[in-house]
Amino acid sequence: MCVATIRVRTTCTQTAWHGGCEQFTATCSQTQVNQIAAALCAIIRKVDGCTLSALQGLKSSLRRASQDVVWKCGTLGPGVLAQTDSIGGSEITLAPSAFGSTSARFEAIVFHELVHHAGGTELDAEAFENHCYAGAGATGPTDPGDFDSFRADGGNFVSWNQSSGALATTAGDALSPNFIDPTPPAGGGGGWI
Amino acid sequence: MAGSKAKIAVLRAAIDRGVQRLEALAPDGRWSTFRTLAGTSDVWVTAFVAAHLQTIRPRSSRLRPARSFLLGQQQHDGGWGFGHGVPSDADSTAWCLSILRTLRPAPRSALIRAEAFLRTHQRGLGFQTYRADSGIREYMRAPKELSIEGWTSTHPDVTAAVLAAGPIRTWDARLDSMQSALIASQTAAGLIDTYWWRSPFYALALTLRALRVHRRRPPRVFIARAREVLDGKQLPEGGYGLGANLEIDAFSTALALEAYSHLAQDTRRTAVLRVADALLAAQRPDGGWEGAFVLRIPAPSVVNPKSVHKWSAGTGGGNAFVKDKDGIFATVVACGALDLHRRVLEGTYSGLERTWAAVKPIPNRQEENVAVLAPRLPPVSERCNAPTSTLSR
Repeated sequence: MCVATIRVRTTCTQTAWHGGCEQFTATCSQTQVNQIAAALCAIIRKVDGCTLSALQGLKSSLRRASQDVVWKCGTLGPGVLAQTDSIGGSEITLAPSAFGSTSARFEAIVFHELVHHAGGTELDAEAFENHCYAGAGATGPTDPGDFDSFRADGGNFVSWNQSSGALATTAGDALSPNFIDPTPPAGGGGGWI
Repeated sequence: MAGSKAKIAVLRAAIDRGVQRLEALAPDGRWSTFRTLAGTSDVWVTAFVAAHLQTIRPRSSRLRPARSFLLGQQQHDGGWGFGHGVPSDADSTAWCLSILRTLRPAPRSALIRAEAFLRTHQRGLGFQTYRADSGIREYMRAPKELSIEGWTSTHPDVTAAVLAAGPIRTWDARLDSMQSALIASQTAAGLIDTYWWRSPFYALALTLRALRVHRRRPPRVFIARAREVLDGKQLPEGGYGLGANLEIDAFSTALALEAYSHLAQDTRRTAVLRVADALLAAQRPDGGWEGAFVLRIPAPSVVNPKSVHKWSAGTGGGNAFVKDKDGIFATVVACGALDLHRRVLEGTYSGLERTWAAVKPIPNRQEENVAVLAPRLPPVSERCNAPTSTLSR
């Protein structure tokens, strides 16, 4: 089996008289574990068939996700489907609304968070999500806040031409999506520099 | 060799002009930049600049007044802060410790108190910037209900700065583990995430510097990933940008050059030489380098800066980018990186030595509150026959 086990965050559901925990319960149900594992299997297949050059660190990280990531199933803020604890962080929280998505969308959501787990910024995660899942689960960046993040942080795996919207990996392979900046910085030089 | 000699002369001239610019900006040995709601930093900035200048130009006339100024700024708790009146923090204290250790005769009492202060900021295998009882909440006049968890968490950039400041008594037993934890925090992208800095190379360069100080060698995979990201993010002109900007940022470029120099057995590679050339080309006629919005101040409650979608520029408050006015940090880090590169070309610096002891990997710790669960999936044949989109076009 491509994914034998995954690691799930537990919470204390029964406290002992001395204050310690008597019973831990996984935050994800068996159905949710199944969904995550199925998504991971599909992602590994995609990575194995990937023709983008270089990106060895990213590919290796995506393949190892079942061993390295701790999954937490729980609520997040309004409209937030999933969240990684930090760039390069190893805890990914998935909201009930993510599990309620189609399997294609769910896989794209998991994939997006795994790019963050690998050290990718929002630009990296959106770029690869929209390259790999175009028309099959990806959602393009529409929130102006996404573009604020793109401008502020740039990409660790991809570069973005703010004028044309073109994306490429740092090794120079072109990516299919085109992120046109709705409010490009004046002069094209990056307003914060 | 003639080419090398000419190159070294160019590097020396550029460093001289950079140092002159720095000295012109602080006739009294006090540098200040980064305007925030807590004022413009002089203590932390002077410590940072002086610690670098000590390595580049140990006889600079500005170092004596800088050390005197800093000695007078030590607070009752043994630490130093961002500026006068701002509570002490571990990062400012690390830079102060770094420069005051070079003072002769050594200010023993001040150094011992500083080390004791830093020890109280160790949490697990990292260092927090502020302690919860540092007084920073009161200084900000933040209500009790406002979380300051972000500023009191451990930060890799602060941890690296503390370790780069040199050994601290009673740490020996944990030093290897702290270095291992920093190494382990390298992401698959090859970088080490920072809390206070926008430049992706800050924590990487400081971690390598710390390893150099403690004569430790990172694992091969760490070096390979670091090289991959340094090669990959290089702009066509040879420098490095900040955020999505495709124009050179001197601070980021200098940190990248420093990282390359530490990693180097092959620093004569074209990529490395191009970084140095790009940095030289970015030097201004006044000898300095342009400063950018390189510092970021997340709101005190923000633990993960990635969660901040909207940063302001120049406001100096929470979730703001702060400009390195006059390019002080850009200039001193550029001079330091060019000086290191010069030493590599001269053969007097060889980076992290292969003969040093390797940093030991952190043993797999039993993580708390994690269950290992097996999925119950349908047979492989059913799953793998399902249509999927392909990764590449």
